[in-house]
Amino acid sequence: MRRAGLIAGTACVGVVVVMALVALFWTPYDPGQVEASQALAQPSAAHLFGTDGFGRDIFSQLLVGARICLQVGIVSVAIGALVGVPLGIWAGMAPGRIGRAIMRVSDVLYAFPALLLAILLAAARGSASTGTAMVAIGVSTVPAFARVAHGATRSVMARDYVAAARASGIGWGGIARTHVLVNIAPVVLVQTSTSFGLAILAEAGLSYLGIGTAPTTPSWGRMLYDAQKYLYQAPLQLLWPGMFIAVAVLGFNLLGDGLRDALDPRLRTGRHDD
Amino acid sequence: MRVASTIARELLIFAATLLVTSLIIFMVVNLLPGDVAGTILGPNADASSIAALRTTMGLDRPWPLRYLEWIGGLLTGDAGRSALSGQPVLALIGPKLAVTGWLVTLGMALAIVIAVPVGIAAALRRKHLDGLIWAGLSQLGMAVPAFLAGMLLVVVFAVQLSWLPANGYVRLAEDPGGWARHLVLPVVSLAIVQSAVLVRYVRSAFIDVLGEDYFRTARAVGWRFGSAVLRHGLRNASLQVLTVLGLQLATLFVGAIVIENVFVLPGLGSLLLSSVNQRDLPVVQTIVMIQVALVLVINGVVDLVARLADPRLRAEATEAGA
Repeated sequence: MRRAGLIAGTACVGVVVVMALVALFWTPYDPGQVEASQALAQPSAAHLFGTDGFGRDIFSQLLVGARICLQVGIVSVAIGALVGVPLGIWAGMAPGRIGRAIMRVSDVLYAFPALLLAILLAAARGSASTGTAMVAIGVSTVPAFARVAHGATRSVMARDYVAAARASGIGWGGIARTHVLVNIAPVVLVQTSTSFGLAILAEAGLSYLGIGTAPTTPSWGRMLYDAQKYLYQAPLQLLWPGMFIAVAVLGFNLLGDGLRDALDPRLRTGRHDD
Repeated sequence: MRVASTIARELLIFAATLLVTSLIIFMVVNLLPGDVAGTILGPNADASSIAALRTTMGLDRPWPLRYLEWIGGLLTGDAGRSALSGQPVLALIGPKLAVTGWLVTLGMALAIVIAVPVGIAAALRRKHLDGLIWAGLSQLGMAVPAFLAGMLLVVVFAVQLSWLPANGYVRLAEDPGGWARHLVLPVVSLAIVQSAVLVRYVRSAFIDVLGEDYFRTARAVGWRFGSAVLRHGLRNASLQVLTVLGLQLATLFVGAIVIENVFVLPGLGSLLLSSVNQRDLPVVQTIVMIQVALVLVINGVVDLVARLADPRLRAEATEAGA
């Protein structure tokens, strides 16, 4: 059963990745090509998923949307991990009081969800872009990475092999590289997958509100914003971008859960006696 | 005595946290490149009129002074004036608070009402098909953005069935029936997504409790399963769930911003977004500060309650304070 989740998650993520790769080389139409005579066309052989209110091909937009979704996810999760993980390791290896202080600071960021940060950035810069969205989402994922890395580092630091390494004269930097980083990698990987799902949701919300991806770029959230105008005439417009957002987020969540079960031996044995 | 000193220490740290937060908000809004006066006047404005507007808006003075003015004003109940309309910021915010307040509290309440029974069912029946279905539904709910859930509800209940209004708001004092009808869809769409996340935590908290010795003992000495779940399960899981609720609060406020936009509710979120679009910075920074402060205050209270209620955490807290 747990296996099924991992497989389903991989399949969902796979679909999005394939769409993004295809979009790099080919889309049936130019996703921005407006054709007023074709507005709100039903799905047909010419337009697989129909067209939107401007007569733009929905399938082409969905393909490009997959690329944007992954791009935002990769960049923002990279920001979160590259800042949060070293912070967490530092806090976990520092003496108790300092470690607690570092984590306090990182916890303050919990009060700033991606959307609020993006709103602040948009207000300050006067314009919103995919760039500000990625920075806002990335910064908002820092505390989660820091917390996960902190907890895992502390449990590694309590192990005998760390004491042995210390006794044989290896410095803190060496221990961080050879012991801590290797041993906390699994939990960081799980967090990466979970954060990826949250990043996709955040990007969709930002684009829907018009403070994320620019209007001309076909992000899935942006497509939902456009679809809202046709709730009465063409409610099906909601379905496609909405479905792909759900597939992508579900995929990364299931992948994260599956990886957690597969990588954490403690949980694996727990499954047998429970 | 120990408890009192713990509370005093927490309050001190808390005040420092609020100060740091306000500084972050102020610096992001005011110190990043991007000239407010220039944007308001448009690209064709000449340099002298931009400079004049900067002077009238007080933007030419050093930022630490402006920061102190803003934060001092907030504490004394005067957050400055809107850059656009010239109205006091707090007078703009006041009437919006009720709308957002209702949306958030009702949304949270409905989410708890849905999530607790579903989470318990998913935990108790985790090896059966129905338990797995509940867990699966929670996964699905977490993958759907709240605004999409809102729009789908509008399509079904407002467009197709015409049972409920698609958007808008009526004040409670004016027309209680209309107020309720306008809030049903926004509250439900906010609660669906929140409860999906909560179910996960309730479920895992309950699975933990079911494996604990005290639970097995209660069963062994003849407690009925149902009363053991209620007495031991609910009490022990509630602290964990309370902490998660606190952490979810920030997401709930953000969710409310988006939902207000979907249903055209005149709340804080709508005001915040229109102020961003018009670059009304005094309004933006004050609303964000109020939201963040609320999240921090409520989380601080939750944290304190959890520590005082749990003997293990209490010992840890006093030890750390010593």
